[in-house]
Amino acid sequence: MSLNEELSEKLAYKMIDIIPGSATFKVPQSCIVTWGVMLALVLLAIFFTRKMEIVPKGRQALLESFIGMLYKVFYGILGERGKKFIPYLLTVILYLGVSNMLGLIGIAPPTKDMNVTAGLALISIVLVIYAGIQKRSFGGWIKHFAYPNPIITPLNVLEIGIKPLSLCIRLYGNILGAYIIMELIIYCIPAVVPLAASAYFDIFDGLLQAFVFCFLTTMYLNEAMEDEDR
Amino acid sequence: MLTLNWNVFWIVFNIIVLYLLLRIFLFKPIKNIMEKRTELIQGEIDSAESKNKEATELRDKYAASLSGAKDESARIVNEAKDRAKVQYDQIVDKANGDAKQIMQQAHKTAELDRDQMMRSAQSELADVAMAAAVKLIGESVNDESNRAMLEKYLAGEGSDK
Repeated sequence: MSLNEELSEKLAYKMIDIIPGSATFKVPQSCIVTWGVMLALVLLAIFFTRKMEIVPKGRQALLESFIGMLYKVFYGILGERGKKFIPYLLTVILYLGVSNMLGLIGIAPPTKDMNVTAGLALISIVLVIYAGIQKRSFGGWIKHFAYPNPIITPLNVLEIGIKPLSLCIRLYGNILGAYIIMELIIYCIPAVVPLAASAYFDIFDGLLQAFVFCFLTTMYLNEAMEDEDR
Repeated sequence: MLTLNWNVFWIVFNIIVLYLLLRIFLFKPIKNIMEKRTELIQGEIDSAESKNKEATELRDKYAASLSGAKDESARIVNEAKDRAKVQYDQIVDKANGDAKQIMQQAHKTAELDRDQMMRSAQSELADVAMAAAVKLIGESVNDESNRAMLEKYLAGEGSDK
């Protein structure tokens, strides 16, 4: 099989039967992987929160400092008014962090499927709009498009589309690119070099993109809730 | 490769489910334990504060009662002193009175003794005088009348002195 054929085969959008044999109910491959990630996260959560004590010890201290660190990052941007969005942002960063690193164990990351990143970006923009409407009421939110100057109203309207698009494409492009490069490296030099490359593309870039996605969502949320007379 | 279709909603659904699951299994336990910790620490601080306050109150009370005890003891000592002084005065007065009385008694007794002695001396003198007179006259003057006369004379002599 040539490189071209192999890559095309790996990057093809696959639908998988939930019940093997019957072709009636298919889900995308990314969805199956997502279910695996969800299961792993929930099991990890149960493992880490078992027998929680007031004085944290061992794995509980680890969990608390880890979640606490992420929480502080988001809380630092959103503050008290946006506190309710933090659990969602933590969910997304945990999901993306685990998903993006799946290349390490040879599973295609679900985030290389544009539907996944588009779905996440969709939720993000819905939350941003919700935060804006909640802050200013519907009329205020509509009027806010003309802020700070009516001239830039079209730009502000466009932002509703641009924000999720950039979120979606950035994540998708990074992960897909990393995936393709990793496949190429593995095809050319199957030993040692993929290890070093994997450390960068899967671990560093994966975590970075997970963080960037959530960080930008947080910034958009904060922007939506900002006071005008600042 | 670049596919965007209705499968978008799988991930929306999955993320919402994951969010709900993590809320139950991750965020809620952490939040609970942190709240409990906050409560515990707050409770400790509150109880420490209340204990501190109690200790201060007790200290003030003890200090007050201590100064009260000092005053009380001073008062008792003063009272005792006053009472002792009164008693002392009483005893000294009584002793003085007694002594005076005894002296008076002694004076009176001495006077009486002197009088008696005088009287007996007078009567003896009368006897001596009579004996001398009998010797001189040679006859008995041992009459009641003479003797009375002599005694009268002597008594007159004695009263003249």
